[in-house]
Amino acid sequence: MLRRILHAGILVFVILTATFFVIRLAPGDPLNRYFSPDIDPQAMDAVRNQLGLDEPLPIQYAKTLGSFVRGDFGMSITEHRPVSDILKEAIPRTLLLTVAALLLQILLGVLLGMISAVKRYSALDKTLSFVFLMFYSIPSFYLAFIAIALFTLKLGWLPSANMFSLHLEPDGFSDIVFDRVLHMILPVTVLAFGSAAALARYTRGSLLDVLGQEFIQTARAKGLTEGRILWKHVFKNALPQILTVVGLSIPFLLGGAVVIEKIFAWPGMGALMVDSIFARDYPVVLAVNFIAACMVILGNLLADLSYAWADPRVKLSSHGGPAGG
Amino acid sequence: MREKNGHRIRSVVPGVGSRTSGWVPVVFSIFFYLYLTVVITRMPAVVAGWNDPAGIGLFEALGIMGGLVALYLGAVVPLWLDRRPAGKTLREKSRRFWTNRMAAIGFVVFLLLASISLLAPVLAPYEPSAQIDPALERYQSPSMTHLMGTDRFGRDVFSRVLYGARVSLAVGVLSVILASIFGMLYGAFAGYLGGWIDDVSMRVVDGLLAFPRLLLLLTLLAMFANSFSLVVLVLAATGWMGVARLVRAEVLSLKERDFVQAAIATGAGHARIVWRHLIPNALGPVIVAATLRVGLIILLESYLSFLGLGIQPPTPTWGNMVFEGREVLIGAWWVAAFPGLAIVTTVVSCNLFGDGLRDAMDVKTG
Amino acid sequence: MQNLIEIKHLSCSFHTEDGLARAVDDVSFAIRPGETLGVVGESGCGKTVTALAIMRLIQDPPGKIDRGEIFFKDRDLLTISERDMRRVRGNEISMIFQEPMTSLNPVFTCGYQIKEAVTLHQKVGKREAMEKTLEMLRLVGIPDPEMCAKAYPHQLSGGMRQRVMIAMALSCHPSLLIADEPTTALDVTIQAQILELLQSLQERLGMAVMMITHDLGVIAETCKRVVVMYAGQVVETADVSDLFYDPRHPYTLGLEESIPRPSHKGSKLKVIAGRVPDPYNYASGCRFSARCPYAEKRCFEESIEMRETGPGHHARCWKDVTQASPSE
Ligand SMILES: Nc1ncnc2c1ncn2[C@@H]1O[C@H](COP(=O)(O)OP(=O)(O)O)[C@@H](O)[C@H]1O
Ligand SMILES: [Mg+2]
Repeated sequence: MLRRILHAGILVFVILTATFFVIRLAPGDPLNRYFSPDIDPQAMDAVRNQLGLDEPLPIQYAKTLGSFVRGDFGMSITEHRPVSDILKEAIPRTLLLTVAALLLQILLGVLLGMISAVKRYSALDKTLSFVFLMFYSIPSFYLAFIAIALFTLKLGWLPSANMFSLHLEPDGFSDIVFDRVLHMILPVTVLAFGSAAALARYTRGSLLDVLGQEFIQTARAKGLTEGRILWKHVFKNALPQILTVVGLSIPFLLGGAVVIEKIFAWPGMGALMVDSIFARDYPVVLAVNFIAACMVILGNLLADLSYAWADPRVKLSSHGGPAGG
Repeated sequence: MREKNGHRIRSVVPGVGSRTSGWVPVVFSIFFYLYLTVVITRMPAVVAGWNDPAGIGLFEALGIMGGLVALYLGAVVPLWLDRRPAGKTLREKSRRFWTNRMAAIGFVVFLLLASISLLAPVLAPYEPSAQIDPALERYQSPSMTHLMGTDRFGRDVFSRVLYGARVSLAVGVLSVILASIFGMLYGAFAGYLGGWIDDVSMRVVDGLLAFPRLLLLLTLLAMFANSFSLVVLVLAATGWMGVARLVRAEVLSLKERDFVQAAIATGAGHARIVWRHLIPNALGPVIVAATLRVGLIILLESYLSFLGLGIQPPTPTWGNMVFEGREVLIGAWWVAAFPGLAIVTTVVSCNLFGDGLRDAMDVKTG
Repeated sequence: MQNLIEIKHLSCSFHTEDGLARAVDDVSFAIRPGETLGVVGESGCGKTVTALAIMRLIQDPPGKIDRGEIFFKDRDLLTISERDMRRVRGNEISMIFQEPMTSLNPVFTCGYQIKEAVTLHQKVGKREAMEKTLEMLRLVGIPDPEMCAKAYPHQLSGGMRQRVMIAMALSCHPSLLIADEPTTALDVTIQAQILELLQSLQERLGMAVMMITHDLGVIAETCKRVVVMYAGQVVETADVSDLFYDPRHPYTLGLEESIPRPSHKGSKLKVIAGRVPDPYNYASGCRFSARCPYAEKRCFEESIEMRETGPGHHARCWKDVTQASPSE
């Protein structure tokens, strides 16, 4: 277990380093955007000096590393305030969105995958499989547009922008919560659907794998009901693999959040990422990448842990989950 | 003698006797003749516009001819193969594949899209970026003159969707090929050499897989100027890890097999063993995985275009076309709806085809 | 004596991409209480399918029981409800399988899997169920039942796992145990132990056993009556001694001649030439005719019925093979 955490630590470090150099070696000067070319070069240098952009790259790198360890992500070039402050606002919003989507994804994906597997080769299974494939193949922005066109523009049922209503006169806390939930429905659903479809496909496949194994026949020969066989014997066998896929879906959710947050004007990390990329706000880009990598690695660590918990054949000391392609 | 003659015709003219070799050459033959018809009927217009700088260039003409050759080969090569003993298994496999009707539909649609993308210059009724008269022609609903309506600048959406197919398919196919080749070499050598090299290489793969791919792509693209080749390269650079893992797993099991052990025992060089023995035997799963990945890449490319970081307007891509429709989702739904539909169709057909291929070749891709 | 179970005209088929496989075709036989019946035949001849049909465990799709009756204690198992059938499975009829490696669920402890069967069919509390589990493990000769109950299948050897399977199958004292090649996957020494165990348990618990095997040696050691199957059909039924000393079907004859015997040391082993026919398209006539050294014109044209050749001895052959000589 300790080894796992150590590996995770190294991974974060490597990702941080890679991102830093990719960003800094790329052409384009962040300052060009904010100053006209004919500005006094001296003033420009002053700003550069203030931001620490004039030092040699290795020194900048060392400094960046040092401050990251202390939890200091530097100053945002565009917003003129500490990146950590910006992140403090953005992270919880993104977490709200992605965690809700993750839960919905697990619920929908596992449940529908199970239904499909239980009714294998029936018309229902075939229909469901095709629906999974559709949602798996649809870009989330397109799904978002369809949902917005339908539920916001045509029917006017659901809001499709921002996290809360601008002119809401809250009548107590529950109103605020209700308003927030209302604003969450569309982005969360759209974000969850794609990965739910992938999870459902995978769940169906691994349940069918398990259903074809001999010990299922043993369980049937014991006189167990199909329901009990499914929930106990099949599910517990498929669980480790399903958990791995859930773990692997975290980067997809975070990536998906970029698009979803832009479309639904949800001011989280994803939107921040896109904005700061266009603005070449290095410290922010670096920090967002760093945080996202940390989240993914943490998620995978959790998935590994639950994998080991679910499968008695796996001991934590041995490394590497199941190979996935 | 007659027998022999029959064979000669059979293996030169697409469609003749191809039924006996399964459905793949049949489909290719049908496409070949359709394609040929389009090329021949539109040829006068093409030749007439030869000197027009906005007309069909040499590069595009070569592409069109290349497509014709590819379809021809698809129609006849299976027949040649079929005369070898190995042909039996090819037929057997294609038969199993055909029983999965959805997979066959996926294949046909994909072939259709590939043909369309190559033929775009002769099929499209308008120049994709021709702004005929923005004030008059903007946001026209679908009609006979504009099958899919027009957009904000009065450009013909149908023509743009046709041209968009080229970007999507080219990006998808090229970057998957690149990623597969690199991933295959990487995985084969890691698995073959084993030991700490394997350990370290797989850690690297784990690390890259742990990264949210879209963020990585955005970072890379934003930092360098974005062009077609860069998009392809970047998508390939972030997409080889799955193949590497797959091939490594395959190689690890192949390595223990007798024929590889025998090759090692006879003192064959590392490169030779990997190249001659390991990679060919691991090819099946790689092909299946690659087919499934084309869909994924097309999807990713559309995300990049949508976010404005992919291939830049005015080159039409399905992603940036959907983006352009964002403000008129109801009023001019066709602007976003058709390119979006094109993405879904393409990705679904790739996935159907890949799923079918996987079942037919009976490989696991994890 | 009354039969415990009687199978009449059982036919099962599988619908697959390659067509229709007639895996079991008009099979009839009976087992008396407390008796051991051997079912023998080459692999692929439909032994497992017959057993699964008795348990009503053939998966549909692709399989189907097309026809037949299975009378067990005066009820036709093929007509009772699924609910009633579940009360029979594991309780009155149990089954053990060929592969001890894969027939136990890897994610539950052995103890749990036995206990599950006990609590399902018997009205007992948790404590009692656990005691019963340990008792069964002791009964099948496991030295440290407590340890074994806590172990996961992958921590045990093949022989031990098969013992666990047996303990599980017998935990509700069934009146019929179907053992589908219980020793095929085991080492030779372990095989003998398991067979011995099954025999002693049968005597103690007084159950009937349907012993499926492709090994005539196992039959000779354990059974009283034998059913020989070939290509989905029963070709001969007889008492064990009749079968060995007076076989009436050329296939049985061939099987026996292909057993290595010390008395025939030095002489060449005979094998049955040819291959098992394809269940997807059987030719007309006797299914063994293509490989039969005694085959005549009639054998290729008419389908042959079972015929009584002696008291309690039936064979699917119209010729008297003890008199005939090979026709080549
Ligand atoms: N799941 C299945 N799908 C298709 N065919 C099957 C299946 N199970 C059994 N069969 C068919 O039934 C025949 C008999 O199989 P089986 O009873 O398992 O033979 P054995 O005597 O070796 O136990 C096989 O030859 C096969 O054609
Ligand atoms: Mg069997």
